[in-house]
Amino acid sequence: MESEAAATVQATRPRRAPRTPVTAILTDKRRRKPKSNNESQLPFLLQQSQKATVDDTYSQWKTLLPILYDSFVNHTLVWPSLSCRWGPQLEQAGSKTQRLYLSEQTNGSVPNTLVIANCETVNRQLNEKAHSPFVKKYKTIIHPGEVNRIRELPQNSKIVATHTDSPDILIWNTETQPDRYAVLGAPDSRPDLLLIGHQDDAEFALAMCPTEPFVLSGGKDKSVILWNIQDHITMAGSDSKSPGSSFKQTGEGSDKTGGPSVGPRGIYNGHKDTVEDVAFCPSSAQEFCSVGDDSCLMLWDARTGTSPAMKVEKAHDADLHCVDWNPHDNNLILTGSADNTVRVFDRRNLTSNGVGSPVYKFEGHRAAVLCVQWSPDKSSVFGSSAEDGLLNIWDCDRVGKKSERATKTPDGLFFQHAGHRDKVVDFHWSLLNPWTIVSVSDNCESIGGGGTLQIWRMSDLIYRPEDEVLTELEKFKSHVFTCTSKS
Amino acid sequence: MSTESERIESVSEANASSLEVGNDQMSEALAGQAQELKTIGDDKEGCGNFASAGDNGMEKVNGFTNLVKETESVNGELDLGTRTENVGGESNQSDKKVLVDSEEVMMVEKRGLLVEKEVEPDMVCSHGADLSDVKVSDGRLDSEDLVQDRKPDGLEKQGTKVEDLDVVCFMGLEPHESKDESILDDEIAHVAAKVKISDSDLVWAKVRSHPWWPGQVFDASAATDKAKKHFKKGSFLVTYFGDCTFAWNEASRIKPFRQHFSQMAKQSSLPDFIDAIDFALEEVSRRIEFGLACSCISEEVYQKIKTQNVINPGIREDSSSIHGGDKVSSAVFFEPANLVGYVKRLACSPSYDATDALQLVSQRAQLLAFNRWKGYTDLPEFMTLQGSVESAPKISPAEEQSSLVEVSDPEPTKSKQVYTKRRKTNLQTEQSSLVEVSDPDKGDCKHDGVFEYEETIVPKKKEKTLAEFIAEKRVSRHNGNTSHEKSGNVPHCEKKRKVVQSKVPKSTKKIKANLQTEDPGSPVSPKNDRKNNLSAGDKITPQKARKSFGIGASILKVANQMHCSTPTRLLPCSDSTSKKAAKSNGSGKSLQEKPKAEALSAREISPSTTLSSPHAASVTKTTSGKSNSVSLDHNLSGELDQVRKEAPSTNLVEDPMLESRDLKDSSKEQVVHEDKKEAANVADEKSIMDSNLTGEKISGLDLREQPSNKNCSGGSDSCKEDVSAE
Repeated sequence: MESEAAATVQATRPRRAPRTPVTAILTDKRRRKPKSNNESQLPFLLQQSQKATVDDTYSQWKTLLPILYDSFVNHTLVWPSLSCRWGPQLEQAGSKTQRLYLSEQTNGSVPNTLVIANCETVNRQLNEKAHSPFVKKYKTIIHPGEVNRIRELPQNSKIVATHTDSPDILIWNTETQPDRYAVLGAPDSRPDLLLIGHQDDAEFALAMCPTEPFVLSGGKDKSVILWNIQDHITMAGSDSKSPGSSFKQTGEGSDKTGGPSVGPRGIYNGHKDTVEDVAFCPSSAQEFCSVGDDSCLMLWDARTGTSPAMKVEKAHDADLHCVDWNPHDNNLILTGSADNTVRVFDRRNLTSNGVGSPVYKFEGHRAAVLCVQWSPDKSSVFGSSAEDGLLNIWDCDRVGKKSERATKTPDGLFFQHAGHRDKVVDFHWSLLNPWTIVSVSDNCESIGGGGTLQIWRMSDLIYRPEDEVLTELEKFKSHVFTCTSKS
Repeated sequence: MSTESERIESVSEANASSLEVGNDQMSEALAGQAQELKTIGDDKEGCGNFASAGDNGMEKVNGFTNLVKETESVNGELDLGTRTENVGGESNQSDKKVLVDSEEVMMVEKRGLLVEKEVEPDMVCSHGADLSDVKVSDGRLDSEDLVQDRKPDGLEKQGTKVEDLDVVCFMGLEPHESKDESILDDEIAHVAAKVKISDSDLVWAKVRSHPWWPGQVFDASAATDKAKKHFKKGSFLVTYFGDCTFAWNEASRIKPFRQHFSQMAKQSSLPDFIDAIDFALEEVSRRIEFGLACSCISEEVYQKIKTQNVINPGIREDSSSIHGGDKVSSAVFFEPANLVGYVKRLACSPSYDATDALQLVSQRAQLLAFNRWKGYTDLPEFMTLQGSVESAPKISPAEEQSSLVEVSDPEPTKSKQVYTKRRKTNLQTEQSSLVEVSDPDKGDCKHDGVFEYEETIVPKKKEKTLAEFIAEKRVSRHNGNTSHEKSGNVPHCEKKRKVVQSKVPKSTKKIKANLQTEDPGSPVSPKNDRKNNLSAGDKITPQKARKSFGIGASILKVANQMHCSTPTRLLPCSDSTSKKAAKSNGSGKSLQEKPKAEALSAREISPSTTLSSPHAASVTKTTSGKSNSVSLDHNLSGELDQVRKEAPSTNLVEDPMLESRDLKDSSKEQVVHEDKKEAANVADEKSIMDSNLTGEKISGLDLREQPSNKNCSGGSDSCKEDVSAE
């Protein structure tokens, strides 16, 4: 079943190669096949040399790590992961842990899973030897199909929605779901709720509203669909098998999980190709935007109808892959594209002469941008991850201020995370720990398959205001003078 | 004319050095500025020279390697006396040239030195620095002739640059540069030398066919008696990083470390060289950390960075602990804006190349100091999430690791057996770490390589033997290290090294593959396995792991071993002696000519059969590697023992006795130098090897035969060369 799905995906999706079945065919790490298996298309030598350079830069980067980071944790995943998200913070016996959602993309030898883990906070402690933080698997959900994307409900991040290679959106209550043991043949976990309405697979475009229990999704059927989870809760109460709500559609029977489902609040049509990503306006549950393979950015307003409120043709020169709406300034919308650029649009001034006129254009990635997200810590800062294995942190405020920076540095860039050696498929700023990011890469062929999960925070020397940093350093210097002269 | 070329050489060196000054942001030179300014008058003149000299400094180095063949015969602990004889009438001329050179450029001290040499032609010095300068200069002259053709290339550019850098030059000027300008004025040169090169300075120093090597200047008073034997007036005692050798270098063969870093770091990509640089940088870091430390930081840390411990056979033990930093590392030179600028630049493009390493290390040291002040103990590290998020983990990380160790435990192959054996015992005691896994590769391959090298490419012999030497040392370094570092931590740095070396160990894969097929539990491809581990990157930052094998506590043990084993059987003079033995053997002369070092001469004399005599000689040769290696790794001595122990099964009748004496000697010395445990260890190891050997006589024989054959041929080759050269 899974392999079937995978095949479809590979055939139909030009972007995001991640479908490559993992090089690990069996769960056992040691059994992982070398990359010279049938999946490799490149000549062996070429692969080798590529690998060599990848390793070189990686070891270099490692040397620089103590200078550039305040904290860094690495975790190698047996299976590639397509999505990682922070969950709620937990207080456990004094030590702070935060929940982490992670997907496992298997090749069918074991079930695909949604993993819920508790991760120790990675803050450095004063006067303490650094110790590696612990991560503990809290729960495994056997997911029907690969987990393409995970989004948590901001108001209650124990509730997550997932996209898989199907038209339905799955809603999980991570607290009440039973923990499962993922072995071949184990039956799938039953989602707490199904959101139905897509006519074709909805794979990636998924968003949860920060103010209402709304879910937004887009798919291959070129439509954007809005649901309200509440529709189910209010109607169904606690009974999972209650008669369907008024929104319930006939498709229920066809679903193998047979769980409760909810129909859409609204279906919004306008895209001419697959919708790749959607985002809510942070200040309004009725406004949202979407991007797609038709190179369009569309803004929608649920109150005004089902056609786009605003439309930006040719927002990029290629497919748009991702979009995010600035949580601090709801005029700014961030888009990432297969044209390797990241752009910022101002919704008050989206287009000129019929084509997109971004406020900022960030050029620095060498491959398609897969994920963009505004920083919760500074309104002008955002991150972008791409197939070139880099996660760049940019600051709109730095655009044009090249000053002392090397000329080769892309405008606006102020941090480059080079710890991943393959496409960085997803990342998420932590809302609880400032400037902390969890990022995940799909290692495909490059370093033997599997995935890499990293939790990191750049050095505060980099993100704090420069004069503040300088003052502190000067203070340190003068202290050394006075202190050593005393002794 | 010869004078001319000699001058060009040193002038161009000066030239190169001055160019570097501009790049050096720490500007060590500032300190010396005042003193240098007074020589400006002279220097102006010197600049003209610079211009015409062009950029031959480095070319000369290249030229050198072309000439290695000739020089090599010198390097290869050849008997100086004979050589000089052999040179005969033709080279008399060049000898004279050299004398002129030396007098003019190297000045008075040099003259004394030369005399000394003529008197004692078989005297061999530690790093080979002063072994037969006569011939070296010979080569040098030739090389310059070669190089001179190319001179015009860099001319114009160089000239202007030098002018621009006028003042800067002088800031960075080295005594030898002053010398260049005041070739006839010994006194000034002497003064300048005294002023500029001071005790404990980090430097680049040159010993013949080696690249410029990072080292540290010591006051002559710190020299051990052994080192003092080779003392040359006006030379500086330089200890070398990485291989723990020392030499007396003339001022012209010493350059300040920082100014020349980016230039010198490019010289070679040999792992030994890289390692040496790493050690030097470690010390740079310590000094900066110390310079920015105050009494507020934790006592433990403060103690750690307060002192530099030098382990070097050329340095007396009471001088081996150096407290404090140096002036260029003091807080005065700490520029917050620079640091922030650097970090921010780096943040945008996190990569660097070898030439940036000094800056990187410096800034990191500053950051570290800052972090300590803030209350952290260390800089952030590459950490690994402990635990698993895998939905169905089949093996625990621990299992995996141990299986890895198992898997890659190298199969003993013949020529490698010494190491392998040692390895094995280690693996048993210190299960786990990847270091063990990859070390053997290194040691072994190095080993193999060395012999091949010696057989085929004579000119490179010296360098290669040095490599072997260091490789040995590194192996033991790691051994010492693993006991200090917990297993999980070490591998990463190992990996780094491995990457560097990946071309070398061909055989490893095969071995691993073999083992893998043998191991039913792990039908993994070795490559992948390794890859996983590497890619997992579950290891810590290199510098942390490194720390412990720097010139520090953990190396102490190793170094002491080296220390001990050296004098007993590897006194430099012995080499020439043995050489003589080998040679005279061929010519049918008696061997009892140089009864110098007892243990040695005893050994050499004993083999009176024609077969064993060259064998003994070659043994000495192999182990010493080169005439100048004063310190010897324990491994090597182990090997030596082994080889000798084999002997009874063949021809060498007296060997057992000798061996026991050696053993006694070394253990005695060890007791003197360090705790008795070491001695016990050595003995233990020896016996282990012993038993192994008896078990595998065949391979043992192979081992013995290989080196002996090769070295015999190598030895006689060089002898022949001497003769045929004429």
